[in-house]
Amino acid sequence: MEVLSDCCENNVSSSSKKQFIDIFVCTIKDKKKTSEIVKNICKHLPLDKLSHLKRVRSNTNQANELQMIVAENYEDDFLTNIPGQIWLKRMQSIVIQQYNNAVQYWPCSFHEDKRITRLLNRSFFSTEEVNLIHKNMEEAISVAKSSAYQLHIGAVIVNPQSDTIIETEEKHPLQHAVMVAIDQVATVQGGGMWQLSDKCCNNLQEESCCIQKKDKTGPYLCTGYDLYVTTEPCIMCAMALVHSRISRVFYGSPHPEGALGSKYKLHVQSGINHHYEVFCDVLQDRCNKLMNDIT
Amino acid sequence: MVTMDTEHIAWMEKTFDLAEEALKSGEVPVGCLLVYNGKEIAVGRNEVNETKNATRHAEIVAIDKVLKFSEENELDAKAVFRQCVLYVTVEPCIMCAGALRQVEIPLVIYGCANDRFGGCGSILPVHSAKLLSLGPSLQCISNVMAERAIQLLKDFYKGENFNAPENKRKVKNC
Repeated sequence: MEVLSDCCENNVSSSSKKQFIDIFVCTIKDKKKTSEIVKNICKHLPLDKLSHLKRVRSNTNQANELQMIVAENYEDDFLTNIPGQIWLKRMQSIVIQQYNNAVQYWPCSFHEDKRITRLLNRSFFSTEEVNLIHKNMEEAISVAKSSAYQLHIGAVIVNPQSDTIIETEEKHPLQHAVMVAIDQVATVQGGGMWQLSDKCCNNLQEESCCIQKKDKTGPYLCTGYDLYVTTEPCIMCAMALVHSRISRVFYGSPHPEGALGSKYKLHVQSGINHHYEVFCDVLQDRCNKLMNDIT
Repeated sequence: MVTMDTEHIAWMEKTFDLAEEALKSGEVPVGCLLVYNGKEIAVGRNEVNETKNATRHAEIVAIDKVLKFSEENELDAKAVFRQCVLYVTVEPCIMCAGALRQVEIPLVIYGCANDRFGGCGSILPVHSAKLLSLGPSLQCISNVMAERAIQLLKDFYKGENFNAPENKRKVKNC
């Protein structure tokens, strides 16, 4: 499942509190004047934070009258006849469930994010894609098992276009599986720092050639690549993936201090110049077992 | 302003030489220097473009050199890191702040804040957050010769990033 920003998750989960605010509403008795009134009020009292709401709705009790939002916090008293307050949903609806919830209270505009709807319906990945995701995670698990070190964490970086596996494992204090995998990609691209075991697949040579020819359409860092890692990355590794412009991250077990869903959600952190998609719980049982098998 | 410890200033001056070297090599101008028992034992500057590895920030490069220093001098690297002071011209990013905690460096002295990626408060307070799996928290002294650090960054961003892909590159008119 995908690790979404809190704004999507909270609004979708049925247990979450709906966010309501008070607004002031007045009645328009002469319907013919509506457009003139709306034009004027939009000019003088724009609804900045509530721009997703329709300004006017029909009055359910009085068919020949309309109701109009005056303001969020209206303190002036020239409108003496304010017919009370109405509870409203504050946030923009992103998916149909949110829209259906919100529209009960006041009509609002709705721009469905189809991608998020599909993610929430669990119809985002096709069966073939799921199989491929599992296959790549299997690879990360086998890398973890082959590691000579104490912590059993494995990582592979994959180019989903050509489905080539790029790499792995760990050693000194900073050589977390993810940091090593990133350096392996750099090595394949003609750079790299840590001169680790020579495990890189030969089928990436084609791409390294692009680099040598200064072909700017060739890979830039990890652009377009996916990372598979058995455990949720720490804050250092999560930020290293931002710097490396990774496209997607798939992980197995969560970690209480992990940075992609548990302690932080760095991939949706505001103020940062690159964001990637994160999917968790991939072959989770097997990844959990791996962590418990520390030798 | 409080008078800054002259020792810090002196080490920072040296750290700026590394940042300037990075600028000359077309890298983001950040320099880093580690002092152990009053002696300089490792330096680093950004090597991202050179290594095609976006994690080769000055701090990470310098940490690798401390590991090498410890090995060559038959010292326990963990004990060395715990006695180190790290000087860096710009606030460590979120990744580097995590790395510094991972190796248990206790004190960081830096120049200007890093509004894009700062991990010592600007974007996230990784230096002080409760992260037991990563190591003890990190003490920071900020704003040491900050203007000079900012000027170097400004000089760098005036130029184009020739390593970015063509379609993503911002072309500067100057």
